Amino acid sequence: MSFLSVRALSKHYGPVTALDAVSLDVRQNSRTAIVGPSGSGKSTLLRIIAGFEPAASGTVQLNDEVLVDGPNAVPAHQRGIGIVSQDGALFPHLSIADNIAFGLHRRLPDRDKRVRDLMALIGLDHAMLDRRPHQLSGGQQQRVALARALARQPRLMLLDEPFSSLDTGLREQMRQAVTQILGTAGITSVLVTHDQAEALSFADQVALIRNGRLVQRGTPEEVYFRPADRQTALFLGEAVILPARLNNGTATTALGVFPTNQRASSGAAEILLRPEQITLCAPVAGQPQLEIEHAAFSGANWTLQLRLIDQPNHPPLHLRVSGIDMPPAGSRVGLAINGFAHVLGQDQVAA
Amino acid sequence: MTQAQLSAASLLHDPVGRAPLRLRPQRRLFSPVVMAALLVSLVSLVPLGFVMWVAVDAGWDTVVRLVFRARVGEFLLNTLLLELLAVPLCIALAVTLAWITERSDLPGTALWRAVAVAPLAIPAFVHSYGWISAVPSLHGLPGAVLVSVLAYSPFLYLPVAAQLRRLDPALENAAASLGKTPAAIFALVVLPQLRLAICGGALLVGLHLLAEYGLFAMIRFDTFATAIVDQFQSSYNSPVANLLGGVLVLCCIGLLALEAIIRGRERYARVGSGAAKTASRHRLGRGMPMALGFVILFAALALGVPLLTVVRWLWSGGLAVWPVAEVGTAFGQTLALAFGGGILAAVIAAPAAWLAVRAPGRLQRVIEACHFYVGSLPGVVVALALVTITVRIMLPLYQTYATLLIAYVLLFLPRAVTALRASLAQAPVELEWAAMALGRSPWQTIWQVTARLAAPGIAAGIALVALGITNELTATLMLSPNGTRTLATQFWIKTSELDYAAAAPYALMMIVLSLPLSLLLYTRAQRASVR
Repeated sequence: MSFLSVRALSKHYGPVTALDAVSLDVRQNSRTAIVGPSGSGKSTLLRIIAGFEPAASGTVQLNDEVLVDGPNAVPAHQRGIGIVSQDGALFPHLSIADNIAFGLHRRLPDRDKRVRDLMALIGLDHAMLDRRPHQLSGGQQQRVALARALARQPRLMLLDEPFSSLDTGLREQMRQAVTQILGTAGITSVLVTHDQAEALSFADQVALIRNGRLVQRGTPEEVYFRPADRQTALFLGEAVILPARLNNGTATTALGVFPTNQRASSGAAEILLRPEQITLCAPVAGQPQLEIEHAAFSGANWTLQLRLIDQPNHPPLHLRVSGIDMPPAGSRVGLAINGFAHVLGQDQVAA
Repeated sequence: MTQAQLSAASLLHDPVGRAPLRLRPQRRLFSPVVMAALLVSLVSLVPLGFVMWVAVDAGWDTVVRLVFRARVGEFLLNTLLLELLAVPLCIALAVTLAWITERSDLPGTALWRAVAVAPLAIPAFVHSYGWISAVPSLHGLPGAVLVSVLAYSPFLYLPVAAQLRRLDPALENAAASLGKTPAAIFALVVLPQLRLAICGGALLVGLHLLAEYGLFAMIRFDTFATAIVDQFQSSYNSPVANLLGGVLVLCCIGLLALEAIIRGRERYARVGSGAAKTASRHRLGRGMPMALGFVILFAALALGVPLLTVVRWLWSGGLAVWPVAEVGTAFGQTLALAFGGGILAAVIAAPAAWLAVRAPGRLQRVIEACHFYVGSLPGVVVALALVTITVRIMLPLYQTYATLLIAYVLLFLPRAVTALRASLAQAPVELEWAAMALGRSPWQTIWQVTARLAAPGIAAGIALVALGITNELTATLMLSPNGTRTLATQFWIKTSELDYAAAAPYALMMIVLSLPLSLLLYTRAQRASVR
C-alpha cells in the first residue's frame, strides 16, 4: 500500500506544461528520488506536494488523507510535510537555535532539550546554537535546515536539490549523513535532483521525469541497466548505444552478437551497453577487431576512441574503461561483454 | 530518535488528535492582492482622468479661447527655456562633481560626497529664499536657472556617482591600451556608460522644473505651476487653472516620451562574468586647486547661501522671532503628516510591490506603470483634481486631512513602491515556504518572516516619502484644511508677507527634519552601489 500517492497531477504556467498527468507512489519508510534535467517539472511536483503551489488537476494523498484535489488543496502549514531546499532557506534574522525551534510550539516543555538533541543528531556542536546562519558553512547550513524540518517529526520529508550547492567532496559526505539520519528517524523521504549519481545512490525508488512527464520508475538498478528509452539511458550515465537486429534473444551488432534481456522481440532496434559491461581483451579470430585510435588518461579511467577495422564506415566508438596496463594507441583489441544487452524502446517524450 | 522524543513530538503533531485536514480552493481569478493593487491603480488614474474630463467638459471653443493665448505662449516659452538651460547645466555640474568625488584623487571624498548630496535636505523654495535675501535683484530666467540648477543637482549627482563607482575599469584600460588619451576615454567610454543614469536623473530634474511652484514664485519667474496656483487662489475651480493643468500634464508626458526616446534600448551593462574591480583614481596634479575651487564654490553657492541666509535672519530677528509654541505646533504637524503619509504610502504601495517581486506578469506591469506615472505628475495637477472631485462628488472630504494624505500618497507612490520592491527582494519566497512547511499560516508567515526581513527597506521607504512630504508646498497649500500649520505653509505665509526673519525658524526646522532623512537616503544609495 502506498503512503504518498500522486495521481494524474497536471500543472501549467500559461501555455507551458510543467506537469502532464504525473502519477507516483511512495511506500512508507522508503526513499524516492525524482530525477530529471532542469526545467523538467520535478521541482514543481515537489512544490505541489509541499503545498506551495496549486495544481491544475489530479490528486495527492498522504496516508489516505487527500491533500490536493484539482485546484482544491490543504494549506502548506497544515500538511506536516518537512522540506529542505537547495540553499537551506534558514531565516537570516534568527540564531541557529531559533531556526531549529521555529517549528516547535513555544510552550513545548522540553523545547531547549529537543533543539540540543537535534544538534547532536546532525552532528553539530552546541557552541553553534547562538550563531547566525551566515556564520556557518554551506554544509552546516544544510544540516541545520534538516534539523529544523526534523524537529516537527514530519510525516514526509521533501529534499529539493539539497546538496547541489555544496562542493563535490562535501556533497557525497552530506548525502550519506542525510540518508543515515533519515533512516534513523524512520521518515519517508522524496529527493528531487538533476544529478543522476545522487539519485541512484540515495534512493530505493528512482522516478525519471522529463518535459513534465514521468518516463520511468523503478529501483536504481532497474532504471540504470534497463532504461525505458535512449534519452533516459544517456541521462542516467555513459552509454554505448548500437543499432542491432534482434532474433530469438540475441542482438547482432557491429561489435558482435550478444544475448539480450528480451526474448520476444525481433527485428531492428537499438541496444544499450553500459561501459561497466565492456572489457578489453586480446583480439579473437572470428570476432570484430578494433584499433585504439586515441587514448586519453584521466586518473581512474581511460577514454578510448576505437575504430572497427572490418567496417571503415562505422563511426568510431568512444569508451571509458579502467585498467592499469592499457595497450598503446594503434594496438588491436577485442571486446568482451558481460551480462545482457538491454533493448531500448522508442523515446517516449521528445526533448 | 528515542521513544521519549517521539512521544514529545506527538504533542505538536499528533496524527490521532489532530483535526481532519480540509481542502480549500487555491485558485482564484483575482487574488485579494491583485484586487488591492488594481484599486490603487484606478485611484492613481484619477488625476489623468480629471485632465481629460476638463478638456472634454470645457469644449473645444473654450479650450481654444483659454489656452491659445499670448500669456499661455509666454508660459510655454519660459518653461522651454528653463528646461533647455537648467537641465544641461545640471548634467554638466553633476557629472563634474561625480567625477571629482569618485574618480579623482581629491582628498576628503566623504566630505565632498556629502556636500554634493546635501542640497537635497534644503527645500527648493528655501534655496530661493536664500538667494532672494542675498541678491535681492535676482529674478526671472537667470535667477530661476541658477537656483534650480543648485537645488536639483543631487537628483543627477546621486545616480551618476553611483554609476561611476560601478563602471568596470577594464573597459577604460582596454581603451588606453588601444591608444586613447584620458580625455578621449572619458568621452568615448565613460560618458556613454553614464547615459542611463544621466537620462534618469535629467528626467527627474525636468519633472521637478515643471512641477515646482515655491522656488519660481519667490524668484518671480512665471511657469505653468505658478500661474495655476495664482489662478486657483483667486478663484478656485476655475476652468483656466484646470486647462493650464492639462497643458502642464501634456508637457510632463512630452518629457517622459523624450526621455524614453533618448534612453533607447541598448545594452550598457557589463558584458562578461566575474566581479568588476574598483577603478583607480586619476591624479589631478596641477588641476588639484581647480577641482578644489570647484567643489568649494559649489558648497558656497548651494549650501552656504541658503544656510547663511537662514542664520543671518535668525540672528537679526533675535529670539523674538522664535514663537516657540507656533514653531513647535508646525513641527509636530509636519512630523505627523510626514510619517502618517509615509506609513500610509507604504501600506498602499505594498500590493503592487508584492506583485512585482512575487508574481510579475503583464497585468502586474500595467499596475506598476500606473503607480509610477502618477508620481511624475506635478503636485498642482493632483491637487486640482482632488479639489474638483471632492467639491463635486465628495464634499465631506473637501479640505480634510484624508484628501491631503491621498494627495501625498499619490505624489510619492513611486518612492514607496521602489523601496518596498527592493526590501521584499530581501525576503526570498523560499523562506516563506520554509515557514509554512514549519506550520506557520500565510498571515503568520508574512508577519514573522517577510515583514521582519523587509523592515529596514520598508522603514527607508517611509522615510523617503516623509522627506518628500516635509518639503512639499504646493499640494499642501491647495488642499490642507483650515488651521493646518505645517513648516512649509507657515514659512510660505511669512515670506509672502515679506517677513523673512519670521520665516527663518521654519526654514531651519525643515532643514533639521530633512537632514537625517537625506542622510538615510544617501547611505542607502552608497550601500546599494557597493554591492
